[in-house]
Amino acid sequence: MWNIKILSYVTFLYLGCFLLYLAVVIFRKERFWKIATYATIFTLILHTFGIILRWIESHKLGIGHAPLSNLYESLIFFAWCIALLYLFIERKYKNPYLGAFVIPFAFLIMAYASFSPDVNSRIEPLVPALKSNWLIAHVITCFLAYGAFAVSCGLSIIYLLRKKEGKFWDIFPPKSQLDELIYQTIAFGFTFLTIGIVTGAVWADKAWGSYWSWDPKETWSLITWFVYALFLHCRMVRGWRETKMAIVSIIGFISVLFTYFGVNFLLSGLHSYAKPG
Amino acid sequence: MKIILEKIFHFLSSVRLTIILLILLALACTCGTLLPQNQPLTIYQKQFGNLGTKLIDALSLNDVYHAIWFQFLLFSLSINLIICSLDRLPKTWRLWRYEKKEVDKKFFKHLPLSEKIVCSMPLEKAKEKIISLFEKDFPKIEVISNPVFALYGKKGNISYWGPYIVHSGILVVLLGAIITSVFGFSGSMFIPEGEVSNTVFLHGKGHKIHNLPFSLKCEKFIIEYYPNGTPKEYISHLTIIDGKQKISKIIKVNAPLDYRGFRFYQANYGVASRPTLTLFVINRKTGEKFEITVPFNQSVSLPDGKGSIKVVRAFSDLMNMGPAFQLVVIEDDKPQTTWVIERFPQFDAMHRKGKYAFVLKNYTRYTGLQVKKDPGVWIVWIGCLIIIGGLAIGLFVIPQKMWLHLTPHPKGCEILIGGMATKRRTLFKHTFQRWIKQIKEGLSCGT
Repeated sequence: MWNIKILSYVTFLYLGCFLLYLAVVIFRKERFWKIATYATIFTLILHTFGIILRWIESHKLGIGHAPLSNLYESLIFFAWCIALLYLFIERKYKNPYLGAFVIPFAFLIMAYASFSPDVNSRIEPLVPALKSNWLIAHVITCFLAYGAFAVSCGLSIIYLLRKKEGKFWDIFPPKSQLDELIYQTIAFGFTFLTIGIVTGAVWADKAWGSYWSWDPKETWSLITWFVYALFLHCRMVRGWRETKMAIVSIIGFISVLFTYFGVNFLLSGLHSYAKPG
Repeated sequence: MKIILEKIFHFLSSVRLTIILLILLALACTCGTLLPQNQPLTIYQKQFGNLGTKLIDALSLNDVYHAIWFQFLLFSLSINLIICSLDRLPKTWRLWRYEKKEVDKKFFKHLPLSEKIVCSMPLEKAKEKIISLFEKDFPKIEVISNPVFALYGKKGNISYWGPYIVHSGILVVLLGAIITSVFGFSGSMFIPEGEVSNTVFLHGKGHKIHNLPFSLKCEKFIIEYYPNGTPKEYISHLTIIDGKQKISKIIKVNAPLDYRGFRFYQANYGVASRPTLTLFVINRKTGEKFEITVPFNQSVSLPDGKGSIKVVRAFSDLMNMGPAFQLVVIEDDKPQTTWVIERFPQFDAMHRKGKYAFVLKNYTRYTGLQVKKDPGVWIVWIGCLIIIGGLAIGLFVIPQKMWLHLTPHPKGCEILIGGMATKRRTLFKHTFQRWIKQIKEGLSCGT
């Protein structure tokens, strides 16, 4: 299967992009920044191509479906969302130093998808419950949200590491700007998480006969929603800023990771398609 | 007394309460996913002992989402949400109405973003040009010509209402959920192929029965498979019998049937309780193969007319071997019991001697349908749309204001521009810089 090969090359390319961004941080040369950005754009294009190829290859097997149906495919798409959102932020805020903290998320997720023995990369036919157009809307919105939360977690880590002053840390955006960026990625993620939960509810109403059935995945996405709702209220109404907010953002991402992996590995429920194996 | 009431109101309208409630709800949900729900108490006894089980029972931790305290939390959140919104309404109203159109030079210094630009363009020409430049950004730009020529533009104030829209959406969703749980019901139907039923077994405690005002007949239940053997589709062919009307319908997973306010979903299937079997009867000597249909518990004669066969028991899963049926075969006046098993076609041939061997070809199944009546679902969807709209307005629309003074200058004219955004200031800084660039290019001036 060509798509699997291409996607495993993409994994190494993300490692390369990460090293380039690291070089930008260490050597502080504009030249490296341009190279790193173009390398990431190239990797993202190849990544997109890999996903489309997987779609085409599934049709050639006679079981054609959008490549968003199992753990492997969702991981690949997760990494894609992170890289895309990162490039968007880099373009908008023109700061090259964030890449070293965000791109590794894309790399680690791709590496896990491609090389972990727990993750089955074969294209498999859809079970009847997944045969719905809501699959695409639901998965895309959820993973755009997860991607945004991953980016905000990366930014929060920079935030917590950044000392007030210091030669090395001066290259990163000032703390207040980081704080605002964290807020904006979370605002984006929260909106898409909401849309993801709603599309999931519409689909559940069609497939399982109930828009909300307290399935562990549903419940954990609601917990994640509560955590980020808390973030927004603390910030907008209580006026919390900075360190406290960065910590809430990291807690939120832990909750995202549990929604995504913890529920698949530890709890059983209606969302068992995403189980490893 | 008045002080106490005030304190209570203050607490109910505080965001501190919101934060506490959100944390409690998150913890309750965590507990609901980590602790197995709706199990008999004996199961908890093994893991948590007597004391733990008593605690679980007392707090209804085995059914968190339906516990009274959980619903109390949701209720408190709604009350908090309403009171908070009402409490903040006057403040938001003032923000929404706040206007300061006419400003003096000093005002610009206090703004977070301001800039002075000198241009060589004559004043009158610059006036026209600058209006046309900002008309695109501010559809309702105001021109003030006294004491100096000034522009005032604002947009995005609707953003202040975002939180109210989201919160009312949440209340609408909760209202829909209450209507669902009070006026709706859900249950299951089991209809064997060829039979008619209108009985719904309601879900939940009590095992009640509801009779539909019409009946469904299951004509056929079909499972389609992919080439690799995994199921592709579960399909029920049904006929709705409503008085004299007969309507043919198909239900698949992800494609439910709507009829007279009820919704029917393909949920499961299984061996009918009194199945009719289709069997291959193979003559062991000649290899001749016949096909016979055997209704449950009725004797059917064998092909040579010298014996009979009867299905006496049916199992949907016999000792983990899947569907199996017990037969009584009478050959030469000697009755023998045997089995036909779906997953082991050779079972009868291997375990019994006689003129004929029996192989299972097919059997009648029942289709398991989930039935639902949910008058609240549309209210929930409307609430969801309101929430999403409110988030988009509240989080992505930037309330922004722009002031501009245009005064004469020895070189041509002088422009003083200032801007303010109450949200997303970093992003607004880019917008402000774009405005300046726009002026410099449009009026062709240096700094």
